[in-house]
Amino acid sequence: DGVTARVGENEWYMTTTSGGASRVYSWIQWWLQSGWGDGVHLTQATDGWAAFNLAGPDSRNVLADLLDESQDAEQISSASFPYMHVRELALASIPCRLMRIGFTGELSYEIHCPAGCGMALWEAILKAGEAYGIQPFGVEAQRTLRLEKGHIIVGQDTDALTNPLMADMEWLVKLDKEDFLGQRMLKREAENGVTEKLVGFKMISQEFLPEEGLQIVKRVKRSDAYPLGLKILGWVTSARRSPTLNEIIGLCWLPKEMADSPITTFKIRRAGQLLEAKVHHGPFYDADGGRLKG
Amino acid sequence: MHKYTALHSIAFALNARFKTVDGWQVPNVYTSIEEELKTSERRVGLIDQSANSRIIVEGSNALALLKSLFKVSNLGIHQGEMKRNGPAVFALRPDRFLILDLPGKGAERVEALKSGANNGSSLVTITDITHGSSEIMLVGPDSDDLLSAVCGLDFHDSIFPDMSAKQSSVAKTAQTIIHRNVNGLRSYTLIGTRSYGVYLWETLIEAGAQYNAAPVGLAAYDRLLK
Repeated sequence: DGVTARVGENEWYMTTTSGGASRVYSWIQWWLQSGWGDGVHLTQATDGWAAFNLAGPDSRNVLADLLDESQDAEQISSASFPYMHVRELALASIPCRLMRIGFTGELSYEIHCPAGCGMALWEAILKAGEAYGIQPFGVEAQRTLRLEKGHIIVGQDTDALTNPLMADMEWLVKLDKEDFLGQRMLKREAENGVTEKLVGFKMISQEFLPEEGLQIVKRVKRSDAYPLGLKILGWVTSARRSPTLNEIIGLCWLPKEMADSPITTFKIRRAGQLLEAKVHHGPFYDADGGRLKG
Repeated sequence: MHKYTALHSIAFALNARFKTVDGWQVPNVYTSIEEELKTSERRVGLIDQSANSRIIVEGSNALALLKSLFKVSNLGIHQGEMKRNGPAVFALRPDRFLILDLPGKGAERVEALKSGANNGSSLVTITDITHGSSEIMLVGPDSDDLLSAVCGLDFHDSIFPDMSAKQSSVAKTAQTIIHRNVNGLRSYTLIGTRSYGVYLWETLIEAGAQYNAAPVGLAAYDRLLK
């Protein structure tokens, strides 16, 4: 889970989820040293950069205030710097690499600068943002924002037994490429169809927030196979109270036929009780992506 | 705009007086120049040299590039060399070299290296690791004894001579260790990822307690060079 940007003719800049950097590095190194490494160098650059996520509808205004006088503000307009692009600009006279990406679902930029300049840039951003009511935000707010947009967290909403097709992310996989690791399995899955899917849900009652990991069940006749009279259908991977939507939202795994139906309701087992939830398709917030890509 | 090394918080907590070098806030004096000189000359001092420029050059033609730009010799693995007005160059592997230079010289060196690499026939990668690494110098007669407490290498001069570099574990972190004496004073420089800088410094101070190891600032270091 990360973003890769082409920053030169033969140079790519790859980011990963925080806990995955070493794993991804080792994975690529394994392949480089197994015969794919001719003419390729891989450099671990994590410590060399400080990185910030600037997010919110006023983030472009804050950036504009940080540009040096010699730089044209047009460079950061939506047309000149569209979603999922990378630019190198000086902010507060500090050379930065900016990626316009959006885990939070708002207009947002990841700003990377040389690590030694991190403190100076942080202070400059906060100062420039004062006029817009800027404030730091932490991981918990970020996780709620991303959930409102239906953005997954790899390793939390997915695991080693799942794949992009099951996670409703066919758009991520280019099955028509010549070849890539995992292509055979994914092609087979695409032909046969998936049996389980990752889908959004909303709680019917707002009383309890279901903990991540709780089982989704249905009542069946008691038997040796089902001593509690409950059959496990899936599980909750993410759940939060959204202050914006004023309801409890989440992501879960369900059998495909249940996940595909917009009128499906199901039960989550929590402390001996069965809580009711309903399937939700698409983002919970800003469904057309106007805030993200504006 | 100030730049801060990974060890800035330590120096700040010790009430060091800072000096600005190429935008970097560098600890200039911790106690007094005289006291810090004594530490360096009689025991072992620790110096935050993280403001220095550090570049990695990698590729099968890396040595040829370095020879053409900096006139270094055919460096064998572990060997280092420094020509007049040039950077110090150390061979970490036959195809991987570490360049050390003064603060502020990095950009100029990278530019020259990239230009030279682009004119070459095979892939040579130049990576400026200045911001991503910390550089801690140990200087003084007890510096090898202190290092022996946290590193399994043999620091005898016959095994690890002056102007040579090795890569090893120091206090369980991956470090490049440069043996480069300062005007006859035994000295080793540890270069590792920035994230481990504070931990390494604190561990060295703790391991160096038996030698009365202490921080030394830039002012005293400049005097040692003269």
